[in-house]
Amino acid sequence: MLEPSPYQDHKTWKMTPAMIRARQPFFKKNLMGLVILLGVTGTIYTYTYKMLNKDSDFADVPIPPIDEKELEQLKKEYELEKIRRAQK
Amino acid sequence: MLASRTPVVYRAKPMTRPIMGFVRNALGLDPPASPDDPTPENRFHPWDQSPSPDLRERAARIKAMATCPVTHKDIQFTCPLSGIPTHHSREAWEKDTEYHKSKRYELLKKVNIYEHDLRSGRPFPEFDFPQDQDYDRMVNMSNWDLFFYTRSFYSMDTEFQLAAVTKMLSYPITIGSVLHQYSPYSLNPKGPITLEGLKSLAALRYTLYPEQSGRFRAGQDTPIRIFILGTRAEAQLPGHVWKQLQYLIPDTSIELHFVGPESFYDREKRSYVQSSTETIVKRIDEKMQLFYHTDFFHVFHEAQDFFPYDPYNDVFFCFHPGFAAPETEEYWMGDTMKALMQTKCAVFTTGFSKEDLLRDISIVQDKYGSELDMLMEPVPNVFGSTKWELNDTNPHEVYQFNMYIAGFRGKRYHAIEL
Repeated sequence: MLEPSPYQDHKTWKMTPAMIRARQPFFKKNLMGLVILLGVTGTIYTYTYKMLNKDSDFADVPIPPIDEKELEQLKKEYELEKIRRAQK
Repeated sequence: MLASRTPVVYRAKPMTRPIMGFVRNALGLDPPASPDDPTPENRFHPWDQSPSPDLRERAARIKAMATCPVTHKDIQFTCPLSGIPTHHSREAWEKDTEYHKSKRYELLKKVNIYEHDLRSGRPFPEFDFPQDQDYDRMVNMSNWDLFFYTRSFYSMDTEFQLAAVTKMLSYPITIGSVLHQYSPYSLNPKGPITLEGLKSLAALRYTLYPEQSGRFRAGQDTPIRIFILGTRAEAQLPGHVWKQLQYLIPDTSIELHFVGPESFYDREKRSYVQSSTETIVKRIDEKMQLFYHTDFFHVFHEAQDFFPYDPYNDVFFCFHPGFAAPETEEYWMGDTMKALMQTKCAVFTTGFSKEDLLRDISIVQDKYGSELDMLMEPVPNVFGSTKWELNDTNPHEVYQFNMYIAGFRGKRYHAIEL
């Protein structure tokens, strides 16, 4: 096992008061650094999550205009195809 | 101070049941504190009923020597808040509004509990000092806590441990903090160092960091000479305490010169050795030597014993010299100060209090103002002792060693352009 640091309580593993005093001058800047790092990561995650949920099955793609006759023709072909498949 | 140290070898206990400890910690159940641990409560005893005979004797000395500030009679009453004899009677103590308003009893109480703690016989693991600093670990000199942490000293959790250790380490680390490249004192106007001061310190750092100044040649390094004038307690510090200064400046060898009639105490003869010709040398290791010159500085200066002086290699420190104190003024302000001005090397001086240091600096400026440059404005010393001390002849005077620091130097004249 690693040698326990003299600045940790041997029983509770807490930082000793001496270490807390030594870290005091850096507390604010460390906290600010933490907030900035978490902020950057958090924004990237939320941005990505929102981007992914925007997928909506091409609903925003307009359907091109189609001729009546051509539609009839396509429907017929579709029916024939259905029958052909059923026979198989 | 040193006699109270008991030789205790400190070993970290093997971690017993760390998981249980962790669970207990998570539940917020701290193990009960050991009754040996110092607290302000268990270290508090009135001095005249102290368990330690030294302190009972000291209380008797205060009662014999000091006078009450209110009635100007002798002192008989022991302040119940601080446990130190301060006034003539209870009425005088109650009448002394300044004493209660300034909360001086809190400082006096600290004097009391720190003295009792040193005599309590508890183990002193904090006196196990660390050795060499690892190559890739920097020392932070911003304050005591960071210094101890970055040098991996024992974790000083209470004010008692700090008081015991800082009183000893204040002398070497004050020197180190002024000379070190990451000194907490920065240039005017952000810090106390004047432009002249930076010139002096830059010259010294040129010697202290040979690798950085690109003049590193094996076997040719000149030692830095640190002169400590008017030494008393600091000359009796053991070698391993001074070695802590060397660990801060590992590249350069150091010669410490203690100068003053009280700089070497012969324990067998129980008297100070005095000689203006002989020098006692103590070698700690190949990097550090201590020299004890047991006479006034000007004697050696006139005999040219320290000649030649070099501002790149020599620096002077005076720890609470009392340039202006009535008892010591005549020893300092005559030949010694003249000799100091002639060396043209940096002189740093500390004081017990702001008034003490300002008085010292102003008397030097009054007498030698035209011949000197200030190197460092008087400021609180970052590495002063945190142990509160008491003047036996006036218990209302509470002070700390090396509380304030300033620096000056004999003026150096620039080359004149033709």
